[in-house]
Amino acid sequence: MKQQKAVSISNIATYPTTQERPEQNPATLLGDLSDHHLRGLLRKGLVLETGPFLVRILADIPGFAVTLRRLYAQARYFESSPGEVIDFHITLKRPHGPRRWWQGQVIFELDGYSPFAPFPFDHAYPLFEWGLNWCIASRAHQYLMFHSAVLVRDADRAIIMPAVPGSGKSTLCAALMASGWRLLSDEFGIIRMDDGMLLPLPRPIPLKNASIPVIKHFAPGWEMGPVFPKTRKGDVCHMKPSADSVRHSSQPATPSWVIFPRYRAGAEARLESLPASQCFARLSGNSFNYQLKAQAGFDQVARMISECEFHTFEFDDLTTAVAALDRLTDN
Amino acid sequence: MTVERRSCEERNSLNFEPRWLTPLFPQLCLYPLDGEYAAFNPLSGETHFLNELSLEVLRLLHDSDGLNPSQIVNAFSDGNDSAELDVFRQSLGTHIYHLDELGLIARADD
Repeated sequence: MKQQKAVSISNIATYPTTQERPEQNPATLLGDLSDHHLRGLLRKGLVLETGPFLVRILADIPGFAVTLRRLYAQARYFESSPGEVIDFHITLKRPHGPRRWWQGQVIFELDGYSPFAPFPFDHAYPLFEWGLNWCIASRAHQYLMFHSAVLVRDADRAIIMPAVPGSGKSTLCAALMASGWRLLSDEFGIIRMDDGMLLPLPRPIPLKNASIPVIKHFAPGWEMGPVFPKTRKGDVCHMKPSADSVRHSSQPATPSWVIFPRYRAGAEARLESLPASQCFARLSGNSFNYQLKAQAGFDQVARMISECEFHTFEFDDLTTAVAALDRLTDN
Repeated sequence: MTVERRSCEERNSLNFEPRWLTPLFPQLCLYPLDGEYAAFNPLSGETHFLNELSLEVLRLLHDSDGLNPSQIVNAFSDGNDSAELDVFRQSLGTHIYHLDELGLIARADD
């Protein structure tokens, strides 16, 4: 598609996704840039490709570039518009007034609109990640989206793990990725409407509080970002997605299992089948935009009910939890 | 179409005999779920979960020009009377009340 200034609604519905973009050129990976060069590009505005989305980031925040380059090293970038619609135009900037210098703050903007209160200046990176989540959840309605982790063990059959905060979803997701599963996403189950396939969005996994040392112990040596203490969600540390996950970020996967995980201290890893009558309500209730998608959303959920296995999953120990899900997907 | 508000007790009573229709039944999208049904109403954009009996009531109303509760009970009774039918008779008012609240049925005389 040629570069264009105005885009009609019909074009928005059909503009190319990453599946149609050319294969990754190693020369355009974020990790190949020096921190200095990347910071210079971010000052002018850099386009980052993550899953099916193109995100333009404008930021002049010391430290942000270092963490972005570290955690998105295998992601492709563009110095200017790649000739496609940019999904999100994000700006991270300091506020005007005294808070620019005294107990500095950082503001997140989408198209000039600031949806959040300012964060402390040194929390620019978690603000970017949460802000991007907000952009996707509130804008990417060409897809049906679930609040879930999605992984693939082998072939293209995906396990979807919808969950509420505090259920241990991210911790389990991190453990599965560290055990060789391909990460599609820790946060979004993104269903492409025309074929019901899950699109990958392999971004860093935000580990919180007690799960940070747990995963550092489970996967020693795995590359992590810095720990951001005392954020609004407690201490946060981002786990870099595996190179394999990012390399295969143009390969969609088939929804095959839906697991509702729940961490419970002392629990044996136990999968229990869920009756179809409960699956529909739980799955549709987990979606960010099920109601907005109207009948198309209903049809997609009905399709998933008919084509996926549904289980609840209580777990404590990560090694046995991973083994249980390995066995499930073996079958 | 406006639905006149009446007390729940009045609706539960078979002495009050309005006739009911289900004009949007053909437009409902139904998906079976182990003896229940997910029903998407394209007019409201909402999904409802119906049990077998509620769906049968909707089907019956759809096949008619409007039925009151006694006529619905008679249609289900098939000429027989049983304890099961008594339970149904007693619960029908509640079923109708809920189907009305969900916007899946409407008063024929409104």
